[in-house]
This record gives sequence, structure tokens and C-alpha cells, in this order.
Amino acid sequence: MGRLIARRLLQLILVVVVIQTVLFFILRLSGDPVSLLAPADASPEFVEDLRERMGFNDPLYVQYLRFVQHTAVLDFGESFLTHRPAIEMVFDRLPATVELAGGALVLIILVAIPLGVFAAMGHGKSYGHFLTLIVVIGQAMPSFWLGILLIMVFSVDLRLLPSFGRGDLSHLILPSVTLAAWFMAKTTRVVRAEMLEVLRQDYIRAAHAKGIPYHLVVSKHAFRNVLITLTTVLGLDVGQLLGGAITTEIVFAWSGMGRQVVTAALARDYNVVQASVFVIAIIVVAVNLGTDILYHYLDPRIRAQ
Amino acid sequence: MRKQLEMTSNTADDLSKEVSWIRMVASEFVRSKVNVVALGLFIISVLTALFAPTVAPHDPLSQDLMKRLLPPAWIGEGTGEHILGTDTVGRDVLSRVVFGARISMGIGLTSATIAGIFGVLMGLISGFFGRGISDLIMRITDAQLSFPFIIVAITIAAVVGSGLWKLIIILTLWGWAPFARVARSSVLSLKEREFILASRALGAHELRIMFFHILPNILSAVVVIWTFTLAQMILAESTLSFLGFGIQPPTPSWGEMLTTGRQYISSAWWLSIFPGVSIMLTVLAVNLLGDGLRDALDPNLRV
Repeated sequence: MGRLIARRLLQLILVVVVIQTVLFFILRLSGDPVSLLAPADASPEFVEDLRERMGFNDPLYVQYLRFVQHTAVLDFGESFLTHRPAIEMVFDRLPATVELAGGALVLIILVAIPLGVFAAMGHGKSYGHFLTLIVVIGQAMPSFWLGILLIMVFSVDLRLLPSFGRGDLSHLILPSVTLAAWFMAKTTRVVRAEMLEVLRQDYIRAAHAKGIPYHLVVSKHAFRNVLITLTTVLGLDVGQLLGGAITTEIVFAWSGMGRQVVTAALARDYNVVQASVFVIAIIVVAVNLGTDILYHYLDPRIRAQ
Repeated sequence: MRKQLEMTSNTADDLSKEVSWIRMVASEFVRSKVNVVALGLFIISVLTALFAPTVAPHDPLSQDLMKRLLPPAWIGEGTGEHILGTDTVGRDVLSRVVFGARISMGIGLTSATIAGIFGVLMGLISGFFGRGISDLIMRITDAQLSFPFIIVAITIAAVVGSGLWKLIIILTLWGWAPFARVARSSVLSLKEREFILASRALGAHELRIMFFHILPNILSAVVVIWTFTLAQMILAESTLSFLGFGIQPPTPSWGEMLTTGRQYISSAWWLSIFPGVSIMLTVLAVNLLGDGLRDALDPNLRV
């Protein structure tokens, strides 16, 4: 167990270094960053001075080493727009995004998993077909459009829920439903498929034959096996949730890091983009590490090895 | 001599088998009404995209400020001239939706196909050659599959700017990973089989084995993944265009139309509804098509 964690931590560091390197080269490949930073009517002397000051006249490897050195202590420089440290801006917005993704994750777990089990039990029956239809539609809707529709119905027409901003729980409902919808559809589908697969196994038949009540066979014998696959799927989803949060935050004017990264990218505020990508990468890798460890606990076969 | 050999091996018997396999898949496919509907919708989308100038009643770019924000024909001031209403500068919504199909289908089909070819090649290479290359390619796909694509796309778009081909390249870079994984695992399971051994014993070149013996065996899996990738590409394109990193105005794309629609949620619902429905129906059709093809091509994969 300790060895597993140590090995994964080493991988984590490796991944982070790779991400840094890729980022560095993508951003430098685009040409001369100074020409983008300087105002259009800047004098050549000003541009040259800026280039010297920002270190763009040094050889590439010196720039790279300096970049690694700085990112190692989370120094991504200042935002060109606000002149605040980029990493600080990202950390300021992080809680909002985590709140949104957390809300979505809760919905996925509380709604999609039971729905998937239910859909599997309704296999071949009319409610099973109905759930499959809902799932298929859910996977075809772009989340930002769903957000627009939800605002139309619940904020504009019914005036039940707020359509923008952060605040109490009522503010969280529409955005987290919007973000969760596609993932709920996917999770329901996965749970249904896995349940159907497990329910076909011989040990399920044996459990039935022993006279164990149906609901216990489903909940204890079948569902626990599905849980193992589900952990991996949900772990991978966390990263995608952070990505999906971007459009949701735009639609609901949610002041998270997703909205910030879009604004920064449109304004070519590279330092903020870099800091955001870095933080998201760390979260994704850390969650994957956590999933691996959880997987270890859930599956006795792996633990025994 | 060689040509003769090949000709004799292609006997009439072989040919009829080939035809009957396609027929079998087709008849399996049309057995489900859902599949037929999905195929119909898909064909309609493709035709709309191809013949957009003929189908669209108006020029999608022509503005008429006197006719701003007209509702659809069946509501109040709506006119038959603009069946789905007009947008903020008086452009015909129906025509823009029709031309939007060009962008969505065009970008989707192109990038899914390039991603498929590239991914299958990478998968074949990684399945055939040593552990080093294989591990490297698989680690890259791991990283890509777990990292949120939108973030990467936005970063790249912020640096290189946006545009049709840049968008296609970004989508391709993202979409190849599943193809590579499936191709690799198929190669690994196929390459020890007897028919591969047999052709190797007959002196077949590695490349010949790769493209004439392994590739035909993974084609049906690739077609299924291609369909699902296409659906993802259409969604991703609309998302990027919605955020302002994809197709730039005034070119009509469904995502870009929704950017405007969002600002008129309470006054002009038709600006949001029709592009959104178009995206949903197209993606729905393509996803269902994928499900149907998977079931028809490989009954073992069915759940």
C-alpha cells in the first residue's frame, strides 16, 4: 500500500513536469509574446525594453529552466490585465468551481446511480425503455443549451430560481443540474450496463437459488461489484467535470475559474491561463491517485495481491 | 503470375459471401425502428449540409434592420417569409440553422475521420512494435482521456487563434485516443492467432499483415468508435464556438448562434431553441446510429 502511494506520487510529479513542459512550449511556439503584450502603437525601444525585462532575449533553455523554477514555487507571474499574481487569481476563484463541481458530483451519485440500477431492473419493460430514452437524450444535449433552457423555464417563466451568480443553495441548483446532466446520463448508462452484466453471472443465480430476497441480491451481490467499476468512471469524470464547468459558469455568470480562464484566453492573458491549467492538472492527477487508492480498498482481489 | 493467383482466390463463392455479410448486417440494422429513424435523421443532416444554398430560403448573412427579432411564423407578428423568425440584425434564423449544419457536419466528419486514421495508425504501431513506443503512446492517451479537453482547446486556441482548420486540428488532436486504444488492444489479441502465424509463415511482410490481415478485422470496431467520436466532435465544436474559440461570426454555426441567443433569453426564445434542437437531434441521431451499428456489426458487444 505504501509502495503504491509512493509510486503514484512519483508519477504525479512526472505528469506535472510534463504538463509544465508542454505548456511552456505551446506558449512559446506561438511566436513573439512581446508583440502581443505591447500596445499596438508602442515604439521599437519600448518593445525591446519590455523583451529584455521579461527575459525573452535569453536562450530558450534558460527561459525554460526559469519557467520550471518559478512554477515549482507556484509563481506564474502577474496577470497582464489586473496586475495581480496569476496564481492568486486562480485560487480566489477555485472555491466557486469546486462548489459547482461538488454539487454536480452529488447529483450524479444520488440520482444517476439509483436510476441506473432501476433501469437495469426494468430491462425489457416499458419504464426501462423510458429511462433509456431519457439517457440518450441527456447525452445529446449540449450542457450550455440545457442551461439556457433551464433559465428560460425556471427563472424567466416560473420565476422560481435565480439565473445567475453565487449565493445560497437555490443559486446552486440550476448550474449543478446543467453541469451534471450529461454525466448523469452517462453514469446511468454505465451502471445499467454493468448491472445487466453482473446480474447474468452464475453467482447471482446461486444467490437466487439460495432463496435470498431479490432486493438483497441486487443490493449486496450485484451492486457492490458494480461499485468497483463505477469508482474508476467517476474518478475520471472529476477532471471532465472541471472542463464542463467552463460552459456552465459562462451561462450562469458563475464567478469560478472556468469563466476566468475563458476571459483570460480571449484576452491572451497567458499567465492566468497557465496558472489555471496547472491547478486543474494537479487536481485531476490528485483525484486519479485518490481513485486508485479507493479502488484498492474496494476490490479485495487487488488488496490480496 | 501474382495477379492470376489473386484472381483465382477471388472466386464467385467468396464474393457472394462478402455480399451476404453486408446484407446480414444491414438486415440486422433495419430490424430496429430506432436505427432507421436515426439513419434517416443523419441522412437529412448530411443532405442539409451539402445542399445548404438550395435548402435555405434566404442568404444567411443578409441583414435587414427593419425586420429585427421577428418571431417564428406561427406567432404574433411572425411572417411566412421567415418561418423560424429573425435574429438581432434581421437575418433569417432558418437559413442560419441550415448553413450551421455545414459547419457542424463538415467539421465533425472531417475531424472524426482524420482522428480515426491517425488513431488507428498509432494503435497499429503501438500494438506491433516494442514496449517502449507502445507504453509512450498509451501514456499519452491516458493523459488525454483524463484531462479536460476544453481546457486544452482553449489554451491552444488562445495561442494560435481560431479558424476552421485550426479548430479541426484541435479536435483531431483530442479525438484520436480512443481509436488508438481499440486498435492496439485488437492487434495484441489478434497477432498471436493462427491466421497471422500462417501468413507470416508464408513470408508476408509485417506491413502486409498489418494492413491486409489485422486492419480488416478491426474495421467494424473502428466504424462504431468513429460514430461516437463524430457525435462528440459536433458537441465539442458547438461548445468551442459558443465560448468564442471556434467559428467566428458572421459565419453561422449552431454554437455561435446560441451565444447571441443566450443574451435574449427572455425576449427572443427562438434564437436559442432552434440551433439547440439542431445540435441535439444531430448528436442524438449519430449516437443512436453508433448504438445500432455496434449491435448489428458485433452481436457480442450488445448489452
